[in-house]
Amino acid sequence: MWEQDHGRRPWRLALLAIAAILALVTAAGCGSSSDDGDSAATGAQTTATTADAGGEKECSVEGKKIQFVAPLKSNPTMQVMAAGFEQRAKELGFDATVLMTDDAEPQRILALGQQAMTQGSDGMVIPPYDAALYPFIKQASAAGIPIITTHSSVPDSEDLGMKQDIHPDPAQYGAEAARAIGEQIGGRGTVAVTQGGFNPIENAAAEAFTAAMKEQYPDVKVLKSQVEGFEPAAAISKAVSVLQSDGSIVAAYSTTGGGPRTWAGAADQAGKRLVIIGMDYTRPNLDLVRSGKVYAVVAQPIYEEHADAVDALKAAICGEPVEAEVSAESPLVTTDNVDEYYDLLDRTGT
Amino acid sequence: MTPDGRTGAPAGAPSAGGSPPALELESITKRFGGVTALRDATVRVRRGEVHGLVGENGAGKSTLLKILDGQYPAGSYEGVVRIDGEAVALHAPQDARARGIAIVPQETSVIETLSVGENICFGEGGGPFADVRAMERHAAAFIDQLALRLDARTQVARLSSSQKQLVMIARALYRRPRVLILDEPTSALTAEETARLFALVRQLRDGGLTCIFVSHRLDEVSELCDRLSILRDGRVVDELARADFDVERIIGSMIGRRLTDLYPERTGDAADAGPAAAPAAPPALAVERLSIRHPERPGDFVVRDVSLAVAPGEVLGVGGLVGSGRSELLGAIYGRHPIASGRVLLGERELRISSPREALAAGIGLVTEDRKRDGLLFNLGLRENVTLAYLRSLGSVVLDRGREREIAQEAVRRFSIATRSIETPVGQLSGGNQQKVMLARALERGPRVLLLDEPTVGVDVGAKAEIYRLIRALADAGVAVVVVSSESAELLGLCDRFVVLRDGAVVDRFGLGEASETRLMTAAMAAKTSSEEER
Amino acid sequence: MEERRVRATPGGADDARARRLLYQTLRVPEVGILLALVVAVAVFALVNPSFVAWANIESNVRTIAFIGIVGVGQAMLIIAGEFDLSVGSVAALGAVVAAILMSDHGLPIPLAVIAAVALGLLIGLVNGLLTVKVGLPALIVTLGMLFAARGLAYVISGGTQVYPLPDGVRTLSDRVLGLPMAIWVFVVLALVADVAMRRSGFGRRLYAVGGNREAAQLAGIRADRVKLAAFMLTGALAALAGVLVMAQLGSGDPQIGMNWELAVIAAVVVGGISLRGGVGSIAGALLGVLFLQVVSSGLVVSGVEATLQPVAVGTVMIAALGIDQVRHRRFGG
Ligand SMILES: Nc1ncnc2c1ncn2[C@@H]1O[C@H](COP(=O)(O)OP(=O)(O)OP(=O)(O)O)[C@@H](O)[C@H]1O
Ligand SMILES: [Mg+2]
Repeated sequence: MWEQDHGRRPWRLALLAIAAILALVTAAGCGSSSDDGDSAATGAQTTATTADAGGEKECSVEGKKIQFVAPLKSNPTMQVMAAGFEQRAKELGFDATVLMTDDAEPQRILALGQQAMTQGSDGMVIPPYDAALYPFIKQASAAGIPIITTHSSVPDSEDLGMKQDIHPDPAQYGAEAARAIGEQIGGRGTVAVTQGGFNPIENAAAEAFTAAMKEQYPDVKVLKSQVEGFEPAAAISKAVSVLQSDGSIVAAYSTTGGGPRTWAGAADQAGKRLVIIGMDYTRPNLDLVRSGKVYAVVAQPIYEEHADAVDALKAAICGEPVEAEVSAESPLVTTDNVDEYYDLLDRTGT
Repeated sequence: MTPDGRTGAPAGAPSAGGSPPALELESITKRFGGVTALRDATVRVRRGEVHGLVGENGAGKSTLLKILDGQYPAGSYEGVVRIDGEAVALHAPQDARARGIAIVPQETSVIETLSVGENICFGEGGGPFADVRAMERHAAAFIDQLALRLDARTQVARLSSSQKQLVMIARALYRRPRVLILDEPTSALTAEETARLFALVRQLRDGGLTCIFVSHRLDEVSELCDRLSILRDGRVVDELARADFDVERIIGSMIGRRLTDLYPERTGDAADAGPAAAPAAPPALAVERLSIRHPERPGDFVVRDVSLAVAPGEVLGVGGLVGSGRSELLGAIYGRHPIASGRVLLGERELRISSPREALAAGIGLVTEDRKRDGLLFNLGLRENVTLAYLRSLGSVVLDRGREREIAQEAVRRFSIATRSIETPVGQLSGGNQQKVMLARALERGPRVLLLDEPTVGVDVGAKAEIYRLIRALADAGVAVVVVSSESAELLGLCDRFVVLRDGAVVDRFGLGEASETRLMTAAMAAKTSSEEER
Repeated sequence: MEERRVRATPGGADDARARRLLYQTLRVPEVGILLALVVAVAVFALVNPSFVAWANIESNVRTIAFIGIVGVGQAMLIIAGEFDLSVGSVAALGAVVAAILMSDHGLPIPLAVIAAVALGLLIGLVNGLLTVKVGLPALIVTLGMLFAARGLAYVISGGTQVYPLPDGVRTLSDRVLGLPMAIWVFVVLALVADVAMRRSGFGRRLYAVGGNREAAQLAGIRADRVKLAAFMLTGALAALAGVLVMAQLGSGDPQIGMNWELAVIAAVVVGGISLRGGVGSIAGALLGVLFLQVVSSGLVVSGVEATLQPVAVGTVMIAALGIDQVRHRRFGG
């Protein structure tokens, strides 16, 4: 009894304390929220300049309501996606809305999608990153709303009825990375491969890398994939261990966005020079490319994907034929073209 | 050689009854690292007898019993264990169980979160999905059969130490053992419960049960046992048949010398036993109309309107049954339980404290009754346990280790604690020596008021005498002492004045002149019967 | 008596002394994990000699420096009878907050670091208050904090690395006397903590409270305060570790410290810290951290299949605990 009495009242205390901490930390975080404000402003500016470009085609989509429904509105990658969608939509004269959640919870995205449907929608772009979203895609398609899915691929076994599935092809960029590394190391030596985790996309990239290397540079030995994980310090230590396991390693390929930092850090610690290719054109990664510590990063075409998705929507609305599956090209970013990507980041305000 | 006399007969030879001894521990030597707990000890127990095992703290009694229970597996000691004349290798308690041996260990070992019934039936059939209700029904029936006062559905955590002891006994008997081992079962029991236990053991013995009984209370041993083995320093030094029981001889064998007086002489005013209630001098500690709320039943009290006073140099005995509020009273004075009404005076000044820390600072010391639950730190050694309440004086940041060692060594010397070194983990000390460690700690800060709750639980006669002498010496040095004890003889021998609690209230108070075992008991027992009627 | 005289022959005495020495050595709690560590290093070095190459050793030590700093706090907390699952998240939050304060708000680097550590201290305080004063189980409280703090790290950082950081941050990861700063911080902390646990009043109180809270309280120890202090220390050290990782990476990454909580608890338990409280030492705990790092790195170096590595780590962990249990039963200590 004593204990129970003990336990009840303080719940309130607990909530209070949590609230206090929340308040404190949000106060500390106001720097970043001002960033968000800036990015919104730059976005508005760019769209204003391009707004009157569209609207003169045969089939007009002027005023048609389309939505981009996605998670994580503060995530820079997601912001680039939204920017691709928004700018192209403005160009074409759509009445476009970006609906994004604060977190990655699919249920909230579903709610946003339903809301868009009830308010009227002529088309939607949705990254189907979670299978929980499939039923909604199916439902909306059945209701006659054209849907374009982006970035993550929907398995062939699912028949959701969307108009187009547009996404990068891990096999393509995996092979591309193999070609680049093979050339850089002159066709001989050993290459290490690491993944963030053993998920289907990363597996496909790593397998394509290994296969392409075997085919084009048969003298290069590709080691089996190791898991670097997502914790940066542990990843670097893992990569150093990989380097120790084989003295002949001259290059490294990572299928994850942390990869450039992981391998650059490991090469530093081991005092080695490596030809490194990793994923994603984030600012730190671009800096690593520019400084020469990393040879290249794979640029998943997240901006273009979403611009293309808007084109596909227009085609669908105008009754033109739309290809069911499109794989978007993922180019490599090296010192040669790194400036373009800095520009892109500047433009999207991230 | 008398028929029951010393068993000088060679091992395995047919004894008077013609059958081999039910149990035979032959030439057992058991070492713990550098410590030899048993040296070539031989004990033979006949079928259907109650065999007593006595000896000082650390003599090796519990160790011997743990060997018999398979807790120390065969191979970890030298010597042979025979059951019914057949040499057996007991590797685990299960082996002992399979041979019909059940033990009630010295240390409380119950599962606090389970009910009485579950504790009793635990592990006895029922499979993985035991039906708790059925267990409790079986247990209830069994408890009735044993005529114990327990409710099978109560959660064990709510029981007093004496009730927990009864649960452990019931659990052992529930397995219908052929051999029952009782390691100091009575140290936590009241006189009445002890009497009932003895009746039960005799009845079972007449039904063929063999029993080994350990106690430091020689009157109990003399009363219950048929034969007796006496251990000293890990050796069996004497073996007596009932006809030869003689307390002086037993004590002599146990401690290797003659014990003149168990209780120290009283000095000063108390010796001539003035009138009952009032203390002889202005009190060092006074409790006025103190009440403490019941922890579970709202509106009810565990201590009601209790007033008492102790003068410097006095030893006040608090009698009453377990559960009569004695421990709670001490706890409240020590700042452990909140006071509902009334007040505590230390000298002239009112004591307003809310934690044991403040009580310590005010010069109050407490030794609790259950050293396992709230007394000792079993993760630490003797040294750390002794100095625990004294840390601040050993340095504000870094502890003065030299000083700490001195204190611990001094405590070992002063209390004659039997230990290999001051670094020995307290869990490896025998029960009685653990008790001495607690006393040493309470005295480390030189308290002006000392509260002792069952200060000699599990302490051998020799050490008891020392503890009594210590308490008396403290009193003579001006400390006011309050002693709670379930042993009437102890209270009578040690204290100057008496207060008896019943159901949380004072029912009797008297001075030494009017004190008697009968008066103590009647006052306390009346409580029992009346509270039973209430239920 | 006679027996003793018989034994006291010169040869027998030598023998006995040798045996006692061996026995006493085996009683030292850290010996088990130390042996396991030596064996592991030897095996991996045999399989692939480059395991003991300096770069690998340094990398391993540098990695355990981070987890080790967290381990110091966690070990103290577990000894006091509680534990904290939020350490990894607090490290991330500390890193992100320090990064934002120094880059976006232009706070001087030392101040930003101090602010981050203070935030860790505060989170520890909240964990402690909810656990100790309110009486909620540490499992629930710190699990909640694990999610809350990580979530906040994401929110504050906008889900991405806080980058770039002012150049001065590099001094935090510079080499001092040939070793990275983080290693020095770790070594100093570890030494201080180990001595504190063995010799100081605070250390003794932690053991007492973890061993038997009620008994400690009756001996005048303010058990609640002791536990609170341990929680706060754990939070502060976690944030500090996060800041040091941030300095090494040159960016405030909200993914710092991912899964540290379990790695740390597993490691200190392997190193002889009992989850029941009151038992173990900092030295042992850190040997445990080193041991698990050696094993996971050694498996990579000796070319064990990636998918099998977690299985091997788990097996080795359980084996190490089992061996220690046997040692404990045989020799006590
Ligand atoms: N696990 C252990 N490790 C080391 N020494 C031990 C251990 N258990 C018991 N001892 C030592 O063995 C001796 C015998 O202890 P034991 O518990 O058998 O005494 P006892 O006769 O039951 O005493 P008491 O009456 O106080 O219960 C003591 O000196 C004790 O310190
Ligand atoms: Mg004993």
